[in-house]
Amino acid sequence: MVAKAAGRPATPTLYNRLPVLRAERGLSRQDLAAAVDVNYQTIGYLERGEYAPSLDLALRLSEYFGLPIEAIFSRTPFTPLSTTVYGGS
Amino acid sequence: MNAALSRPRPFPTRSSRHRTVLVYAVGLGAVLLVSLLALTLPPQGPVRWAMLAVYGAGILCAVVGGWLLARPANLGLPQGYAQQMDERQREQVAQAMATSYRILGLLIIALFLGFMWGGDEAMIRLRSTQAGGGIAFTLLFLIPFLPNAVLAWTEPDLFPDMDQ
Repeated sequence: MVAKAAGRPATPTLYNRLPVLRAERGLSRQDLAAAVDVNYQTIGYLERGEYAPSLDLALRLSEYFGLPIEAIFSRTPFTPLSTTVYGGS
Repeated sequence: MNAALSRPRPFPTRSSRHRTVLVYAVGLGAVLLVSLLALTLPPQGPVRWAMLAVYGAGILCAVVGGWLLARPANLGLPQGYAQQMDERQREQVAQAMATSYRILGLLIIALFLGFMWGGDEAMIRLRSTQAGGGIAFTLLFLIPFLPNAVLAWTEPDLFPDMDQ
């Protein structure tokens, strides 16, 4: 039996590492936008978590950075890289 | 990475876009209100001139607001926007279209019910006076620019460092 949902649940926040990845590579939003063929504003809204990308765009970003999608996007907040690398708190 | 990218067009702030939408909405609202008033209360004397002045100002505001909303750059969209929009922009435009469709539907139903309850006299005045022209102007200016107005109203602001 399928329980009837009370309503459509709100979309959970999608966290991302785009600003860090972009800064590491010295890219502007326009550079990244041109590389993955979107408008530069869309990169800004993605970074702010105001837009969840399609699977196609997520794959293009993943290919561009050479990282798996889950290294760029996550449903839970990312731990800072310094914590991951050095284990500090 | 070394490709020369064209400089992005400046995207107006949300408050500036809200002002444009308000000018457009107030203009159309004034034209519609004066037209409906003229249907129910035939204006005479100084009231007629006041209504004409509001009507003229309404048309001016609606035309200026519509002209500003018709420019894709004011909505954060590329100039030849049908081909050059990305997935987020297409999604935003689709949502704006759907919202406008609902608003227009409600407005047309309200006008239809108003004329049904207004009786024969309102229908006769609609044909015999200029009031019908005002209602037609409102609908003609609402249909093409309402999606743009919804988009201009809802599109979020950019970061201060994003407009570069």
